[in-house]
Formats: sequence, structure tokens, C-alpha cells
Amino acid sequence: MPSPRRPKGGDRHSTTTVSLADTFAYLQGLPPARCEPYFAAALQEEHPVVQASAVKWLLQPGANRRPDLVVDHFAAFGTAAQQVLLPYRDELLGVARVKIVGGRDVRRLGAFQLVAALGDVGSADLLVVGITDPNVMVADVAFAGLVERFRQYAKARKEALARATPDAPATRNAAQEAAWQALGTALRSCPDERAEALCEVMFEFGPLVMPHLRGVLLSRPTATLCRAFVRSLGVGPATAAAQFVVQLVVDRDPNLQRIGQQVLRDRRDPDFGREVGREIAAVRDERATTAIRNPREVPWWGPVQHAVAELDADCARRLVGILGEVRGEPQQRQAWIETFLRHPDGDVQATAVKALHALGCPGGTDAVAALLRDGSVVAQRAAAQLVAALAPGQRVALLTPLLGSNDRELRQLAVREVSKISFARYLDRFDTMDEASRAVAAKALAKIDAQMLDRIAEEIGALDPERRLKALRIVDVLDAEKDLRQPLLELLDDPDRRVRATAIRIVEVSGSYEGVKVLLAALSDPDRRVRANAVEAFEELADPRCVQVLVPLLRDRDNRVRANAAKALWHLGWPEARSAMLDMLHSGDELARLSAVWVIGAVRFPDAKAALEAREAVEPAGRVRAKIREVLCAWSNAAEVLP
Amino acid sequence: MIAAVEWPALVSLVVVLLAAVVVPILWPRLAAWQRDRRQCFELARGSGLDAGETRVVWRLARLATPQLPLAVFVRPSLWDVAVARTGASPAIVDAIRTKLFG
Repeated sequence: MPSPRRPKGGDRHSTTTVSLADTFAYLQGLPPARCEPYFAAALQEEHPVVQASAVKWLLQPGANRRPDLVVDHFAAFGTAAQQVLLPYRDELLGVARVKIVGGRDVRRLGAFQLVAALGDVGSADLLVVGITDPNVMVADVAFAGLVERFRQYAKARKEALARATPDAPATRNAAQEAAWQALGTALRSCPDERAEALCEVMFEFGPLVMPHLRGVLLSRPTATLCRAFVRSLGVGPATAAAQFVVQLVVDRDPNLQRIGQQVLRDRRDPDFGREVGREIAAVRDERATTAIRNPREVPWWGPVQHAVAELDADCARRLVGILGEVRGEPQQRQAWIETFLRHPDGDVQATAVKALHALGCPGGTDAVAALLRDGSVVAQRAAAQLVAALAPGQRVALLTPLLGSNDRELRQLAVREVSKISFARYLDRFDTMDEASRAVAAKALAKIDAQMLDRIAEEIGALDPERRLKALRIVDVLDAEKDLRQPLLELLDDPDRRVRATAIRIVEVSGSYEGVKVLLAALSDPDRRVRANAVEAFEELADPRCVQVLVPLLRDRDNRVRANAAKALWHLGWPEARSAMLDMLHSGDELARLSAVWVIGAVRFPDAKAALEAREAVEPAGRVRAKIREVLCAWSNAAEVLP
Repeated sequence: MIAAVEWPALVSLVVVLLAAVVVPILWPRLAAWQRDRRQCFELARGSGLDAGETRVVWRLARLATPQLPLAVFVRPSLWDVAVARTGASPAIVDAIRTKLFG
């Protein structure tokens, strides 16, 4: 018998520990048959110090080591005793494994409890053995431990997948692989009474568990677990349920698709709808995307439609894209997409409007028109473009209110569209207006429509020569030759002579080699108006080198061309121009004399008045005399006005 | 005469036979009792108990766990009923308990 080793001044606990240690040392000296019951009694005693001391003595190295006894009585251990076990964890788990896999050991409860308490995720492969144990306590312990392992594994797996990249995909370590296999076993052999609880675990896994679950659903669709799972899809946590349902819907097997579709038809809570929307939006796999788009009835839209406003902007935009591509009647698709016009995010509204635009709005533009009144600016812009493109009859009515919008782009868009119609109307009525009205209307339009010149340029390029001619006249009225110089230069060579003549009259060609070439060609144009206008254009160039080009035109067969040439030559400083004009004034051709009076009146060279008065005195033609009188009167009036 | 002569022998024979039957039965128990008592006293002394306390321990061991008398040294819960079972004073029981388990 060891003597008591009670340290003087030692605390109460250390004293007791020493005493108990001596006691256990004494007991270990007894024959095994007598010693074991005492250790068993100590292990079962709910006293932390006694248990811990007993455990230490049973696990300390030596011939009397009894780890199996510790495992057997693990059920009775408190926290202190369990702490003592930690250094021996692997060895004890090994002992427990032997007891569990070795058959129905009568003391297996302790082994399961030890594995449940000390085992890692990989110990799920041991615990799963116990879920079908006839001993209810063993089954309870095994199942609880298993559920905990699955939860740990689910969490770790989700984190690993979140961190995974294509270069570093999430892999399973040995323990996780064991847990994964145990999960498959649990799903296949789960007792009916534990099906609901296992469903809860599956919901924590989410779709990660689908590979195992899929096999069970297909092989034993009427099993309690399968029925519990389908029931849980209808009432379980929205996020996981939505993940499962979407996985089922896009599954290759029609039976699984039907399960998912049934849940989508039955479940209507907003959370579920929102989560389904997110899951659908997150689908990227091509085959899955096709599966989502293909059904005509689009079953996932049922719950999602009630939660559209709760979806984040990215999801909502993605769903709009998917709905724009699903099979089905265009009007039905429009109705689905129009739901997104009520989304609080302006970008989503705009995306929906663009999708409707692409769809052609077969069901009308009423919803989009409403958005024009109270939508976000971005959406209003898209809506205005849609209205402009797809609702010509309502364009003015719908877009006119936007003329006062605070948004500059929106305002410009509205102005452009409204004024486009105004411009079209102006063109329609152009021929019925007098010159003054044309000028006033054109200038008014130009003030409100920044795109007016673009429209005129568009008209200049029209196939119909009447439209081109009309456009040229508007250019003339607006003095917009410089802004439209390039398209006008092209008209100098227009196949229509009226257009050509007008263009030559309007266009400023200085500095343009191409323009001068066209003008030179125009000087020999068969049409006299073209030639006359070409001469005027050369006059505008104010380049003395043009004299040589114009002198031959003093002999043109047309009197107006000759008069224009004389006028141009005068202005270009050619001294012989005066004689040419006087020659025309005394010509035998009445029209030539008439043109001469006009040109002399225009240039008014020195002693022109005397020349005209002299001619008036001998002029036989009344028209010529009247013209001379008109010019002289104009000069005298001008002299009175001038100081 | 024979009867008078044989009586002592007969009694001796009966006694011997009785002893032959009873002693093998009682001796192991007695030996076990003696062994348990010795071990109990050794442990009690080793745990610092005095003679009076040791007697209380032995009394509780015989009454509470006769099959495992030394269990009183490793099962504190047995001492919850020690006052009632042994008739010892609570002060002595508390003192013993403190010395054994703290």
C-alpha cells in the first residue's frame, strides 16, 4: 500500500488528485478480474476528478492499459474526462472503429459516442453504420453525430467551392471523401423515422447533394426519404429549395423535371420566388439554359413573377434576357417582360424596354407608354426610342410631354422625333407655301430641331429628284450651304438638270478641285439654267484666272448665259466686259437687249445711265423700254435714299 | 457399553464431517472478507483516514457495495447516503469525503 503523499500547504484539489492517484495505483495492483470493476465504477461515476484520474490510469503506458474500457464507458464521461482523452484521440478512435465494424458489441454505444464526440468529418463512415442499429440509443447517437459531420462537411465544401477557381478546383480530402460516401450510404439506407431529419441536412448541403439524391429519387421514388424530400421542397428553406428545384427542372431525366415543375406550380411564397429567380439567373450551362428556355409554359415564371421587384438588378436583367429568348407566344412573352417595367431599378426597366423593343411589342405599347410618364430617366430614354420605332401613330402624343424633360438626352430625343414629323409635314406642304412662309417655317424648324441639317442631307440623298430639289431650296432658305457643302457638291453632277442648276447656284466651290471640275463641265451643259448658274458660281469664286473660262460664254446661244458671263467678267475685272454689255444692248435680238438692260442695271458701270437713256430713246421694244425705265427708276430711288 | 464407548467418536466424526462441509464453504468467504477488510483498511490509511473514519468506511463498504467494497474509494456518490446507511455523524462523513475526493 502506498503511503499517503499529501503535500503540506497544497491545495485541496491537488491533495485529492494525489490521493485518488494512489488509490488507482493500489487498485491496479489487484488481479485484473478484481481491478476492472473498480475502474468501471470510477469511469461511470459522475465526478470529473474521479473520471479523469481513472482515465489517466487506464491510458498510461504499461501492461495494464485498457483503452477499450475507456471507450466502453465513454457515454458516462464529462467534459473533464473528455479533455484527458484528447491526446489519445486517434488510438481511441481506432479502438472504437474495431468495436463498431466488428459487429454488435454490447457496449457499442460508448464507441459511437466517442466517435461522435472526437471524430472528424471522416468519421461519418463509422457513424453511418449505426443509423440502422436496433438499439435506439445507438441509432440516435450515430445519427446525431452523422448529421453534425454532414453539416461540417457541407459548410467546408461550400467554402471550398466559393474559393475554387478553374486553375484550383475544389477537391475533397480523404476525410471529406469518406463523409461524401457516408452521405450516399445514409441516403440509401435512411430509416423512415429519420427521413425528415436527413432532409434538413440535405437542405444545408443544397444542390451539392444532388448526385447522391438523384440516384435515390430515380431508384426509390416512393421511399419515405424521397417523399419527405419532395414535401420539404414545398415548405423548406427558400434558398435551398429553390436551388434543388432549379436543379431538378434542368435535369436530364423527365421524372425529376416533373418533380421540380410540380413544386414550381405549387409553391408561391415570395422568398421562394426570389430565390428561384436568382437561381435561374445564375444558370450558365448551355444545356441547362436551353432547358430553362424551351418549355412553352415556362414553369419557373410562376413563383418568380411575384418577386420580380425583390430581385437584384443583375438577376432581373438576366431574367429579362432569358424571357426574351424563351419559346412561346410573343404576346405572352411581352406580358412576362412587362412585369420588369415595375422593377425599382432604372437599368432593369431599360433592359425590359429594350427586350420589348426587340420583341416588337406585339401586344401594344401601353405599358411602355406608362413608363414614359413615371419611369426612371434611363428607362424613359429606352421607352422613347421604342415608341419612336414601334409606335409611329402615337409618337407625337407620347413624346411631346418629354420636350420639357429635365434630362437633356431625353429632351433631344423627343425634339428630334417630334421635329422629324414636323419636318416631314413641312416637306409635304412645301410646294403649297410661298417663299416667305417657306423661309419662316424652315428657320423656325431649324431653331427647335438640331437634327434639321441631317434631315436635309437625308433628303438631298433621296432618289426622288423632287425631294432633292426641295431640299436644295430649303438649304438656300436657311443659308446652310457651308454646313451641307459635301452633299451639295455631289448634286453638282446630279442627273436631274433642275437639281444640277440649283446646286450650282447654291454651292460654294472655292477650294474644291472636284467642285471646279464639275462647274467647268456645267459651262457646257445643254441646259441654259445650268450654264447660267455655273457662270454665277465662277463669279462667286472671284478668281481672275476664271476670265479665260468665261469669255467664250459671251458668245453663248442663250442671252441669260451671255448676260451672266458679262456680269461675271465685269466683277472679275475684265475690261472688255463693258463693251460686251453695250454690244448686247444694241443687239438685234430683243431678249438679248432685255438681258443687257438687266446686267447693266446689276453692274452699273460708269456712264451706264447715259447708255441706257440713249438706248431708251431708240428702243423699239416696249418690254425693253419698260425694263430700262425700271432700272433707271431704281437707281434714282437708291440715290435719294443714300446720303 | 458400545454405545457408551462410541458416543465421543461419533460426535467427533459428526464434527469432522460438519467441518468438512462447512469450512470449505465459509473459508473463502471469510478469506475474502478478511482480504477486503485488509485492503480497505490499507487504502483508508493510505488516504490519511484515522481509525474511527476507517471503521466508517468499512461499514459503508459492507452495506453499500458488498460485492465491490473498495468502490467506496472511487465512487463519491456512495457517500451521499453514508450518514443514513452507517449511522455516522455528518461531520465524520464530510471529513472522510473530503479526504478521499476533495
